[in-house]
Amino acid sequence: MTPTSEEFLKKTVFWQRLSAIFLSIFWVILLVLLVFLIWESSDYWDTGNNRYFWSEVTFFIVYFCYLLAIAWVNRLLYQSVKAIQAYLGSKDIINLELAFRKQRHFWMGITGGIISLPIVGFLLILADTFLFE
Amino acid sequence: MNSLLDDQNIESEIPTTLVQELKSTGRWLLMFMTLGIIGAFLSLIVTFNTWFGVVTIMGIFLTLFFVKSVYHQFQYARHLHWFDVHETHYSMEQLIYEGVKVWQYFSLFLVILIFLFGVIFWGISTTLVVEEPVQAIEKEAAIIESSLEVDTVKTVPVVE
Repeated sequence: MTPTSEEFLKKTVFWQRLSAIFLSIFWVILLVLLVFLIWESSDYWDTGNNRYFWSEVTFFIVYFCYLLAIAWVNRLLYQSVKAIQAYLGSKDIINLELAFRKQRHFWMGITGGIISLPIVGFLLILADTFLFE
Repeated sequence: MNSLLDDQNIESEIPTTLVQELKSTGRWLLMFMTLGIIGAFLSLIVTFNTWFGVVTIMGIFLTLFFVKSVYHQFQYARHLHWFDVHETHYSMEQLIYEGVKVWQYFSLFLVILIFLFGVIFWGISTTLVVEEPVQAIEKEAAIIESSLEVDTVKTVPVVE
């Protein structure tokens, strides 16, 4: 018996949901790491040595922005899963279209994040060298 | 359980907006795939320069994983990009089947990321919490000791 697209779609739902769960775990690890780094660096803030204060604050703001971006991308993945489930239930092709649109936005977000990461890192190094010196 | 393309009138079944959506998704996936290839080369270069054997093995494993993952991404992107309602290069079944593979590899990729960041977090938490305050205290103690030594040197001749 040849598997139908409906069966493949059910598999897609499973793996997409698993990806979304793993991405959530990754997000939580990044959040804990951010809290930990802020807590660690706060020990040195009142020591009078403010050389790295503003570069650290900038780094934390950028890090927080990336956390928001990952949360947004993960939400898109959940929405895609929901849309495929809706398609399997109603057979309305517009839901499948919506699922692929969400997936497109998801890949756009991931690719954009990967491209922007070295650029932002380079800008942070520049700021640390010239602006906060 | 009817297949999407089982119906005779394909054009009424699959709207052109969906086809456009599929093609566009394929383009973005191709871009992600390109970055994957760069990532594979970088991981190979970085890990082959290290002396630590486990890291090198991990690098080879990661590269193989990227190559396999990229292959499926390419297949999926190809299916998406050349999917056409008029000429029907690929069926919807093939397309969704490759999609399943891509999501399987993406899940595995996330597991590796979680493992790596877990290791990094563990490394940071053990070195920062235990070693750094000790080093800071040692540095402060050294400064105090040196200042005391200066005082002693200054005061000793006076006492004599």
